[in-house]
Amino acid sequence: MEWSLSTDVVVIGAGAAGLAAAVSARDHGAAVIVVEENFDIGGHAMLSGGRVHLGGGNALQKKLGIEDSPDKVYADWINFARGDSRYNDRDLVRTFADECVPTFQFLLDNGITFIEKPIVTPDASTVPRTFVTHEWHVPSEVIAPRRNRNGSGLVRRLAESARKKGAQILLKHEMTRIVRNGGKGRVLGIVTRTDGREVAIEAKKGVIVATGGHTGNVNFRRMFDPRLTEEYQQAGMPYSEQGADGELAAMDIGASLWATGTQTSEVGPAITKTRHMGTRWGYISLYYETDSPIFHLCKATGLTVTDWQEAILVNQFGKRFWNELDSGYDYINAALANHGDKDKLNGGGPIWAIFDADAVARQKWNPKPPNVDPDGYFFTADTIFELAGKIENPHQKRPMPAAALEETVARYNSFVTSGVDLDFRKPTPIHPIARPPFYAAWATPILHDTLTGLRTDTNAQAIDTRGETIPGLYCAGESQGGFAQHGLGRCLVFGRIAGRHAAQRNS
Amino acid sequence: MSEDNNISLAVWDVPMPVVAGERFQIKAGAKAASGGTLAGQRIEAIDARGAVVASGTLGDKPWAGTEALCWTVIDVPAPAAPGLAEYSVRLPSGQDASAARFSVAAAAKPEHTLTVTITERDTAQPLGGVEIRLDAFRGRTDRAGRAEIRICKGDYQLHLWRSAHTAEPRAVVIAGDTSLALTMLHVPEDHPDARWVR
Repeated sequence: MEWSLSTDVVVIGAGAAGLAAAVSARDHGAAVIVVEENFDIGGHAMLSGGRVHLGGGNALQKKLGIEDSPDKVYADWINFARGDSRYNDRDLVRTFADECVPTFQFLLDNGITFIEKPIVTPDASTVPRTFVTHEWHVPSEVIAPRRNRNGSGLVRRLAESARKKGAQILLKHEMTRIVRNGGKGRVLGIVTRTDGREVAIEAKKGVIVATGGHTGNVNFRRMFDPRLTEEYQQAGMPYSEQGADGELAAMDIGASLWATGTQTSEVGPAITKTRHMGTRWGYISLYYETDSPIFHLCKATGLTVTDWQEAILVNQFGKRFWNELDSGYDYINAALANHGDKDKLNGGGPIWAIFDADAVARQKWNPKPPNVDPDGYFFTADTIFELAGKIENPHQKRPMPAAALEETVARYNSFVTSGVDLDFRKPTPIHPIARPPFYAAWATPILHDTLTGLRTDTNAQAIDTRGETIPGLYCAGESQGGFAQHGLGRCLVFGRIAGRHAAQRNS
Repeated sequence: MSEDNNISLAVWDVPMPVVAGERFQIKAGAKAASGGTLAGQRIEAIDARGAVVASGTLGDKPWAGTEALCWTVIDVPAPAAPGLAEYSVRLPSGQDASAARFSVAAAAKPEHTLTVTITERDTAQPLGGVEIRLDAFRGRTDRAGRAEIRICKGDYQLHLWRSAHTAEPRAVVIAGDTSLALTMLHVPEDHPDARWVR
């Protein structure tokens, strides 16, 4: 193998886990190259709320008098009574629990600053453990500015620290494969592609997969849930694709997946309803203002829905399928069910919000670009019948039957008159959909968390399908399996562990 | 309506409730798929038995915000007795369009006024924009948290709705003009990621 570059540790992905790994590896004396396929660092974490879930008695918890311990963290995250803790790998959780406090200190030591007020996360934790980083101070370097995307402060500061400490970050370098010495040998490096040419990078000590998960890879995500066909939105897009490339490259050289049941445990925001409708990407807590540096890719901000009394939700056939006020997994499962499409039995197809001019007035929406994307994700018409005929979208495989939509709206309006939703028990349907013009807005569910991935040991070393360690291969972040925790905590802990362990390996 | 119709219809501003035995007004409009104007066309209201009960003539100025929805006001007779009733509007037979359905709730003529003021339970701040329903009778509070609803004598379940607020339905007896001071509890919207410790 001819190497273009050589280093001790190669990190694939410059998100929360990858940057923590890079800093940690540098702290332990290794030369580090980080490759990132995007034009900028940060991955999903750049667009996150910056909610860092690290308890166990960390410095801020102590300062605020919050009683916590590693044992309490461990007990919470193996609690059999909850879906986000029940299926977790106890070995990984034990390590996580023991490494929370030093990882929090690691962040402080690398210049990360936190709002000194905890938040309560709707997860397995029984005491406040989550602190929020400050948003990055340069608005033009925040991908979704002014919308509390405080994760920008985490990844920008980590990247700054990594560079100061001597790590090299190569942007727009897409990893195409991991190189292993023979079928059972050590991992030697990776091959990347940049500007149409291959760059092979030798890793004398280790390669760390921190590519961020798999929600953007339809084939891969359907291994865990066959319903997740191509129509679904993804949180983090169009910035962070989560294309499963790390998992696939690792599996190509023998790596195993782990705790795959966690992906479908139906807790937390793994799959959510949309909140910003009429735009291709409308994840609930992610709103792209028009001055976002990627707004040309987003194309619209979306119309923010705070009250689903304002609209009905219909499937590709123009029919309601559930109580619109429900945002939990009962709703999600109804949306993802087959609604009668004989040509596509998996996946529920597109979901559209239908509403009228009165809803627009009540909500003070402005249903025009750049708030909505009329190029396939938002439609306006003078009548309901006409509206159905206007809906054209790559995932709307056939015209929406106009008579069916007309009947759906008339029936719903009769429920408003009677006060009783005979079909789906929406409590007290309030507003008829009657005053022209009428609107149809993209409201298809959104995939967020990758909750399963590659099997590792507690040092974040990848394990193969026979249960053997793959020498020199590591994994951290959302590409790592075994721990169904939402957010940044586990990514940072195992990123830091992976960097440390790889740096300490004999080359 | 069949998928082949070239004219589609809309009905809006249907009062809630209507007074049994009296007349009520609706707005009705029609749009030609061809984009041509339908101004001057007759449009009919039909009751549940299929009888034409009212009609109007479409005007030449499109409804505000639409491309070409010609519309008119139709004066429709309400059902003789209280209850739910179905109507539809259509263009006269021979036109390439079918009917658009709408429903009404008919009630006796209201003889009393229910005045409701609503505040947030913890802050005591007035709550505007609260939707109030007592069977077919409804109202919406103004910025001062106040609404007046003309209503008939009787026993009702009063329902309140406002985004991110909650209140249990409650029984209300209307025997004369009535004033109610009610509260709703603010329930913060579930944050997708987390909420701040209070």
